[in-house]
Amino acid sequence: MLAAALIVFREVLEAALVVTIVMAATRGMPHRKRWVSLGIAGGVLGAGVVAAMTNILAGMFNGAGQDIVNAGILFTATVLIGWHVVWMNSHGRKMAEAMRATAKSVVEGERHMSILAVVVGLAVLREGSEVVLMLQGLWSTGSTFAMLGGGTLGLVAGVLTGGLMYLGFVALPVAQVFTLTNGILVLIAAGMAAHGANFLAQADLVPSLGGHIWDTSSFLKDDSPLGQLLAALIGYIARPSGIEVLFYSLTVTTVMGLMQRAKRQTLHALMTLAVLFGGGFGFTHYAKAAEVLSPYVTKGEWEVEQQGYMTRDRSSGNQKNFVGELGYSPTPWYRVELEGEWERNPNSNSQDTRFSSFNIENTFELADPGEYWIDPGLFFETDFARDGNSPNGLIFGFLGAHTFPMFTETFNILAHKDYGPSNTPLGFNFDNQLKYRYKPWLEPGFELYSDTSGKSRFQDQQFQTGPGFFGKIYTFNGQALKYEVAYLFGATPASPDGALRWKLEYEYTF
Amino acid sequence: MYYAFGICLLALVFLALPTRAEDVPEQHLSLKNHSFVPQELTVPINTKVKLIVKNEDGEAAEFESFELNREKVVPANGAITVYLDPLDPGTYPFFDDFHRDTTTGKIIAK
Repeated sequence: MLAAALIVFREVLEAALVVTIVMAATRGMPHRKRWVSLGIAGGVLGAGVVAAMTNILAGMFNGAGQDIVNAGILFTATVLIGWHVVWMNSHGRKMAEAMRATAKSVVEGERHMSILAVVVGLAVLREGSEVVLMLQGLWSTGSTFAMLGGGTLGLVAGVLTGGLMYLGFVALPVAQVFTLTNGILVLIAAGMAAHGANFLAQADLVPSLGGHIWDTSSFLKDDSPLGQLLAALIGYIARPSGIEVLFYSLTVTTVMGLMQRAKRQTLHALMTLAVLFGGGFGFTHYAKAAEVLSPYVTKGEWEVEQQGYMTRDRSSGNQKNFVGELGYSPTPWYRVELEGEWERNPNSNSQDTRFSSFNIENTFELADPGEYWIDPGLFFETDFARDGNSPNGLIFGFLGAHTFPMFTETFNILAHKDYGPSNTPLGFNFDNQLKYRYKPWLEPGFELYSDTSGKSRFQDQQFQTGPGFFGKIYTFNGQALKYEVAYLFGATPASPDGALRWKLEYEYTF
Repeated sequence: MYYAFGICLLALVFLALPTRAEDVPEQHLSLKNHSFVPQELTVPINTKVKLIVKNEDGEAAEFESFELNREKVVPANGAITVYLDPLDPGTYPFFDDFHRDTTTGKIIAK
């Protein structure tokens, strides 16, 4: 009886979580209770149907029927939740609350609620069908009373917990609730996408891209109560496969990228042209050529590098930043790079780029790759401005990397400060690069760049993410050409709407 | 935001803890006359391995592998340590970047 209670409690809680968050996220929208109830009812009905059809489904598509249906349900939910988050982000809570006001907005609100009803229905259907199947299993072993009693107990407990969570949401200020639920929903959607990908991998319809990319079971086991709660909330998986990690990060990046996009007008193409030929409107940020630094050093390696960074933004002038660099590693653990930086300052009316600073970068490899779980490095850079109009700068921080079976992960945690004219307060950067080691000359991946810029509100900070391609082309013995190119979407008002960055490097080791 | 960075740094210190020295098995690879000896090295799966690469030639070499994501110069008549991550079963080729086509080898995890 306890087993039945626990199973039902867990499944009901997962569904209740989605219901609670949808209810919390839609305060003020028309007939939301009606729509959500409809969704729940539809889900329950659907759960019964799916459970009844299990045997038929299992046989379809060479045994992959169940997996395809599960994946389909999950991907549909992912897309719908993603759509809701983007819509909510662009319309804002004020508009959502004012849904009652005009007839047109009421209709739009009803349409939105109907979509959310489907989301709720899918969640209930997925969890419900698992409950029905598990209870069927218990019933077949003859313990009818245990099944009914335990099942009811679990159901009541799950619903009560969901209600308590909703009350918790109600106690928060409305603005915070919307931001919080939007954030949680993005992660729930990402977790569902990863879960769906897993079903497809199970049916061998997609490659798993590595059995387990990392293993955090020693910190938090999948089957512990907290692990299961985190699994439902943020999609926590202790030993994720490559395809799960891929679908998770793809979902997060896509939704975040679309969120800012949704605010822009559809005259994008024309705006781009206007910005390229227009003058600077006054700028909100000083941007440096973006790159994710590596903690690895190879002794005796000379390198020549060129980097570019070009932005476009509706509200401020476009920015251009070019770097030319020469580097050398005299020891196995130290690399020095001397660089010249050219900038088109959006403040000026000229379209020309001028030489803006001379920089010295120092990288220290602190341990052998693979010696520790994170390959650690330290970084220190000094920027010397060409003239009195530009600031001098210092950058200092930690570089980390980890080799996964099919992926390479690199991240930087840096602190930077500019001195002199137009100096900036102490700012922090978190930059990240995750790439799939497909071939030496082609490694697709994602990058993320964030800069507090000394501000405390997220909207005033910079946050950019986007896809990129990286690779190494071997030329002569001991020599190679490396490239990086990425397009970054801005996710805050202070970030440029779009930025193209590239790096070309020739290395020569002897 | 600043607290978040502080927590990140603390987490890093925690996550950077090494495996105990006696737990990591050692294996050896040599370079002789621009050939790897042995050319095929077998390591156990899912085990971190400390690979000692010894260069018996009078010329520097670079131990490199795309699959293992390692790139390290082995000085002439010197030796280096390369840590291998726990590997899934399979074959992982490596080469000397200074003689890319002729000096090659494989690590077999099984």
